[in-house]
Amino acid sequence: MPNAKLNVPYPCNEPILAYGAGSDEKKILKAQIEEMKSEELEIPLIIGGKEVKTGELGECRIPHDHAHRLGKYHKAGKKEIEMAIEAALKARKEWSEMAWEDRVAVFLRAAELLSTKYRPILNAATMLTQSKNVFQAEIDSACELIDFFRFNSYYAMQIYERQPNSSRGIWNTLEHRGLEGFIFAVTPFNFTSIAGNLPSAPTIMGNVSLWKPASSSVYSAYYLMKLFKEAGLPDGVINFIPGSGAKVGVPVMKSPYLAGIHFTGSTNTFQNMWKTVGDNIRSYKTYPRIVGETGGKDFVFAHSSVNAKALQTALIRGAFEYQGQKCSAASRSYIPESVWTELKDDLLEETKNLKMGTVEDFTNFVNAVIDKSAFDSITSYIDFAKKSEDAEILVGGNYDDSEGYFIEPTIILTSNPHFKTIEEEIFGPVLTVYIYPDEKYEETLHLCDKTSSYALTGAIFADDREAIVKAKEILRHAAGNFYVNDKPTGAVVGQQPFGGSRASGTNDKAGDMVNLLRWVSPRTIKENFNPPIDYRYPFMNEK
Amino acid sequence: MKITRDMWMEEILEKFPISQDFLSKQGIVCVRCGEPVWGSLEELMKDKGFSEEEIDENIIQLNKYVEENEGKAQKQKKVIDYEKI
Repeated sequence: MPNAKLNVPYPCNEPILAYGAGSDEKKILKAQIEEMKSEELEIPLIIGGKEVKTGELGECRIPHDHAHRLGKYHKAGKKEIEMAIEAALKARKEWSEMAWEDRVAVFLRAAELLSTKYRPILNAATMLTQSKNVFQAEIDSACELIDFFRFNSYYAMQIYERQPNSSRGIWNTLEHRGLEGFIFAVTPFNFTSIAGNLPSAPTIMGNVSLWKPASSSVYSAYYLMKLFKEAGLPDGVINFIPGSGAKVGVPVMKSPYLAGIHFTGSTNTFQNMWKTVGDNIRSYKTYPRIVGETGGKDFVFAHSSVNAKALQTALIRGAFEYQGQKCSAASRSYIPESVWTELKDDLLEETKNLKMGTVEDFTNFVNAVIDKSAFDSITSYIDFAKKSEDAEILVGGNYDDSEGYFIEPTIILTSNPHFKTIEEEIFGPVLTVYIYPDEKYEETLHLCDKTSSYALTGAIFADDREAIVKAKEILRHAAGNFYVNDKPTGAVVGQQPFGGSRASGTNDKAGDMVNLLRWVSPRTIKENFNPPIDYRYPFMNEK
Repeated sequence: MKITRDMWMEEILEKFPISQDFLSKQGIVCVRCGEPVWGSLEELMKDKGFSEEEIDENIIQLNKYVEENEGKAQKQKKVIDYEKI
């Protein structure tokens, strides 16, 4: 609509459905789960809107029932990557030149579809293929992704509104162009919302994407492609190329048309990608924008003035929800001696009683970890702690992968503030606790700051305001998302922009305007309504 | 030799999952954020500061470890009593 200045509807966070006993949403979701379990999908690549099958197959299995296969997916190879780059570049011209209101409308429609028809589909897919309980799925694959679509659309409008000042006879304007090339989106298994956001956020700003989802969440990612299609996204704007990380990633990153990387995953992989970009820097048409959110060794720090019940709840939810497989999960805690005496028995008892099992049984709080490799990696840390003289397993420590990849929520107590499990990211349901003398509060804050190379999330629990102020000061660079008397997980789009620094990433805050600004290359245009007609300046008229 | 220096970590873990036990003891990160890390075994070992000779020796030992342990129960698992919790 050329003759109107439009406003994007002001976004509100999507309400979380409760899935209470007997509720309609619960009945619909349960039926959807059963339907998905009763059939096996064959998932193709989607390049330029067309389904492509390579015959090189991977499998989608249910982590809490790994004998059950939900589907097979085709893996991309060199040829398909070339096809995807070509398709993206072909779609780019029309998409980048489309009126921004029309691009945004696709994602507002996607939000509406996800809020209604696709809600049970994406939630069921996420529950089954990523082993998330209903609440964890609802806040992720439904609410957070809807929020990403709506808030990003609104922020896009705000970015386009940003215009420079103009002096008399001059009109200065900024055109926020999409980048010249394609964006490579590499998404993690643990959040369907991030899987949907990483390829789509740049496209809202007029870019095109190649999208490699994590191998363990291809199933839910495929349904996101269906959602984009139904919302009206033109063919080729997002190209779906699941496959082996390195096999897909290296040739994509060597393309001269790589204009950006939007990544969430491990620090090692991100550093590897950055190195590949550096090695190829002379060959690119434009300097690729690199945006990454990686690991964390997130902390909960308690002061002696803490409310012990609030601390206990934060530790359990922060460390063990979604089996600790959140970048933001609490995995280390510093607790003063006086509080530990009060807290210990209740915390251990509550942790012991956390109910673990399948996602189909809605009474379970804890489900399975994502796959065999993750199971082996996490349990190797538990085994290490069992054998160590510096540590004691206070609760949990058992695991079983006979039917599903189950690991008990585990709390390790260590007397060594540099013990392996308090320094390294485990990405599982393992919390390491270090007890400090009450009078060494500041000293221990410094210890917390220096213990890990990461700086993603962290929390301080205290009633004493001076203690809070001190923690905020000493831990200023220890977390990109810092919480006071709340757990370090569960950032909400539009409320707590998410991302960390140091080894945790580039801190380009997902779901915020800051992130969208990375996907545009502004062009400044100065127009002179009355251009000078003589090169001489007035000062030149007299000696 | 089953595992070679040019193999990618994802491929190694897919074909020889037991490798993770050996490699993690050498300080080689195999899995992070639930995903195999990108890069070949050689690249990952070089990042860790291993010399050419050390890489060769470690790969020989890795293959030996895989041969000896493949097919065996990989972990002593305590079956969790779900009824109790």
